[in-house]
Amino acid sequence: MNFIVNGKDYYTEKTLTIADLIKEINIDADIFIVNSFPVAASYIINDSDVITLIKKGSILDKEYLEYQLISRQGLKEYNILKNSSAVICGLGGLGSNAAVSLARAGIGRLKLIDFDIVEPSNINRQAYFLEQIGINKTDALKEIINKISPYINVEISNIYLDETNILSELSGFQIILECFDSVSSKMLLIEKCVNNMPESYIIGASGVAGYYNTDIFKQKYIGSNCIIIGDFENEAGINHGLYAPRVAAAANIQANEAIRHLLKDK
Amino acid sequence: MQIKVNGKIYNFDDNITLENIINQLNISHQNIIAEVNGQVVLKEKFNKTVIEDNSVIELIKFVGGG
Repeated sequence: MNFIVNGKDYYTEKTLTIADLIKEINIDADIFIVNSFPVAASYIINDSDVITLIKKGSILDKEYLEYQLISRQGLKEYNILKNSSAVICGLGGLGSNAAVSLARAGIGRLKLIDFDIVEPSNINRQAYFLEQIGINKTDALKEIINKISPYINVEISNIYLDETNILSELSGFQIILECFDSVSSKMLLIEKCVNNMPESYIIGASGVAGYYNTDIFKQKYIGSNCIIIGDFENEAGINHGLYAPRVAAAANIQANEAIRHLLKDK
Repeated sequence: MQIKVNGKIYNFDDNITLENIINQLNISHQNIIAEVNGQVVLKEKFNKTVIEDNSVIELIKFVGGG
């Protein structure tokens, strides 16, 4: 019988429970996750199981840590996501929250693009911390992602995307997340990229302001390689604020679309 | 001729442009992405794009905020 323990192949002729396995390999552990779900020590191991053994509150060797981080996800999926890439355009309420979710899911290569710095009016909905006020959003978000997972390759580009640079900055990524605040930048990305970048899947947002019921979020497709999420009505404006719950909900719908596309759940 | 716009079928005169369809439906040009038969049409080409019979058009409104 073959199975995987903390990312490594394991072979035995015996029938083992998790408790037996812990004794046999002499690992201190009190959380046992098999095929993405926690089990009891009495669980009888099956052929091809993916097992992660964790000692609560401890950070084990770096070689095991990566598998512990993703033990609730599924190894097959993780290996696909680790070899995937996404570029996030605009690191505000949509982009910063989407990037954090994609990093947690283990997307191996993330590129972060924004021209601006973190300021106090961002904190109500964006992923940044007070201590990061005044620094580039790209640097601030890279720092946050590095603290979540050291296994993500993060590239940054501290520029304003316009029609002269957008195609070259975004080329070579499987996923393009349109996370701008300004409507003209949103339009530019869709107009430039949908026709010209058929190999990339573009995920945008329109209508995420306020605290309206999220059940009015819709999904609209453009061409064969673009989807837009939002209510297509509620614009940020005077007396029309942006709130963390709704904008982060839209950001995470965008991130979920990215995962669905990469894992071919469609 | 029959054209589908945002999922609904409309009748228009032959050789109508995308711009005239948008005007006749009383849709604001501002911040609209237009997709005709799966291709995005740039705003500056709305008045030059002649729509053929049985075309499928999606007009998607973009609003700011993020």
